[in-house]
Amino acid sequence: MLNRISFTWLIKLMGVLGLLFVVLPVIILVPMSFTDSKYLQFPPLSYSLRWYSHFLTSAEWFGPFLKSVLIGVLSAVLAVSGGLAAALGIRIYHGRWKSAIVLFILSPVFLPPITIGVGMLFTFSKLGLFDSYLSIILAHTLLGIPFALVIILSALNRRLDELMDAAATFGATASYALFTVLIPEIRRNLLNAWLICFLVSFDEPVLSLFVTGSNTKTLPRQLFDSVRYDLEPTSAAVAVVMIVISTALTLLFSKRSKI
Amino acid sequence: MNYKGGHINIQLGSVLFFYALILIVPVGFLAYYAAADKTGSLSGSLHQLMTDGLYVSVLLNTIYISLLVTVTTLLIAYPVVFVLAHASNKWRNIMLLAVTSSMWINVLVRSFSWIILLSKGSPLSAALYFFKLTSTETSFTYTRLAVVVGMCNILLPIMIFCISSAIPRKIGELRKVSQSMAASAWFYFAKVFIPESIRGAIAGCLLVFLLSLGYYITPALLGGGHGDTMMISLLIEQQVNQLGNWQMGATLSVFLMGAILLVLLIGLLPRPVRLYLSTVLTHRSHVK
Repeated sequence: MLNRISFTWLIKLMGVLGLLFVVLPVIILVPMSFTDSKYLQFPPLSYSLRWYSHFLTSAEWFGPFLKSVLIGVLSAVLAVSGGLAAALGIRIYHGRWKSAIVLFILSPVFLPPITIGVGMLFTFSKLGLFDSYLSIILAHTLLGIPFALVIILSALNRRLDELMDAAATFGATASYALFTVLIPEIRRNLLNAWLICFLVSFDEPVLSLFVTGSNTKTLPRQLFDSVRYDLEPTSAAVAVVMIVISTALTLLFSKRSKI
Repeated sequence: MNYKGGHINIQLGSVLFFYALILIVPVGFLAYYAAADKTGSLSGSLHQLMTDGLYVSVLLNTIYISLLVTVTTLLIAYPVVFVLAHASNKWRNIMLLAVTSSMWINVLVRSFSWIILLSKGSPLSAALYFFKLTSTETSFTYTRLAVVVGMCNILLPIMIFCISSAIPRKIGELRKVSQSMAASAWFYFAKVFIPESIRGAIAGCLLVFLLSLGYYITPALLGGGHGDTMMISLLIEQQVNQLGNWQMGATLSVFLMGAILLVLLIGLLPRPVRLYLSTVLTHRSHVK
């Protein structure tokens, strides 16, 4: 009896410690961002909001923030469209290469972003598109399509197939039915997919490192440069802002059931 | 929508075309730069890759660190999954929320806070010094330990999800059954819990290993490329951005991609994985 209690208790203790380990970095970041001094310290000796105001007022930080938001919004829209097209195509296609095609479309997830980034650096430089908004938006769209595909694919079921058939019997063309029947039916899933793609793009550091220059510097790129080279508390404030945005958006999208 | 054909339709075709432009063309450029530049040929730079001590040691170091990270993540994740699987609904939701929310948080942000945690003035190093585990207050940043810890921290949620997805829903009942048969907790853990979840563990290990091979941000911030923290991704960035050696950078990238695809193929060959893939694609849950 005693033997059983102590082993399980041990495993559970290790489990709880493991969980604490997972959330540790986030927990320490929040108080650190409110420090008053010019250096990062934990725990902070005095508190102020100055680094948040620095983030909002300096062009060095706020510019990239706006650019990240813009790029995220646009690339998420494109990624969801691409994911929807791919999902519909997968549902219809029943040839030999189905698994291979799906794996191919999912491949940006497990290919190391650094290799894709280097390749894109070469390509975009050759095309003269380096440091342009087009290149970073296309790159982030590529990253987002796999996520959109998985989410939308799980939302398409036989009931929707039959609904589309019913629309066809009423004389709707496929594209008309797409916009009037299918998209309204799965709009919640489409919005969730959009959110995921936006967060993927907003947080994406590696590709941005290779594809952006000084013109299109995204927030993760700015954060990376700052952490690597000057390490000031504004980074902590920015990090907390990013956490808050991600959390707020996710909560917002899960609570609104009326949309 | 019930038309099911064997030809690639326009929807799929357009996405594949996009992929061809944005994925295949860059990869093609990589192969081109690896193969032919003014100074050498493909066999030339690959040969250099294989024989030059610097590159070989970086490759071996990358594999070693990735293995360390995979094993450590597995060891830490298992107790967490155990707790998750046997917790009451309320607690399980809270814990899942904690794990998932740490996944939303940017890789950069998480690596960044580990820099703070592991540096000289942090409570962690103070605590270690207090418990006489270190001789002075030391900073652990830019060491291999820091890189492993950071990568573990970031890849842990992935491993947790992989393992827990393989655990059957009725695992609590299985536990009660084993207890009613007077099995010890250790017996239950080793002979019931682990075998049930081993599939997820293998998938998780594969995924974590692959991801850590190509990891860039965490090793760059926590290791900086000093001493034994150099990983292949850091080398690629160095070659391309700092040294302007596009050829070597391309060769390394091609090599990395090839290695990852190879490991992936080896991991996907086993029959259970192919069965799983086919059930996902045909939306049937009982394929035989």
